[in-house]
Amino acid sequence: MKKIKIQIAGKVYTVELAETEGQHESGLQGRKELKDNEGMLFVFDGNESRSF
Amino acid sequence: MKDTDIPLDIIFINDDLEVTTIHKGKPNSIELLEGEGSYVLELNQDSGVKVGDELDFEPENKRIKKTDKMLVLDSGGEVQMELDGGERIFSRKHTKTLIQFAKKAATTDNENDYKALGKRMFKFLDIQSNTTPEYVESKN
Repeated sequence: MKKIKIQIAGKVYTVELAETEGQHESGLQGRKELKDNEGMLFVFDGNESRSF
Repeated sequence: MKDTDIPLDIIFINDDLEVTTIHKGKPNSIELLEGEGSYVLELNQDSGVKVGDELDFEPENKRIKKTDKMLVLDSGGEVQMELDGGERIFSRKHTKTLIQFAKKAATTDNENDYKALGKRMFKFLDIQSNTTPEYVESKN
């Protein structure tokens, strides 16, 4: 998955970009750990309410 | 979050890149979390992110500090306009092009026309990002 750098609340993170439905489904499943400067960003079409 | 062992902050972010909701994701729970947004960001729990925080795709060190001032000068060197530093200005030519593309998209409401507008914007923004700033001495 593509990785990008983002900043939020004063901290810079390197996050994996989850764009496709498949990537949305898998997310961070099966991962044993996540570093404090890492994360995952899910991108959706539209601004509606969603359940996650 | 099923099948996920890590406790996470589940952060919902809207189109304006503002955090709208934060949930604490419990490891391996099948509870459905609701929120509003074009983006959901997952970070380790207790990330310190709060509702209202802004998501930035361009980390701080690349940006011009807001304290820098920018003066737009006319050909005689007189100040036409004062701006906070870091403002981007589109040339008359680029502005005209963007307006044409925008008008077309607004008329046809066609996704391809919106795509073309978007691509053109990226192209011009890219030119701005990669052009070395040119500064001249102001008279004052």
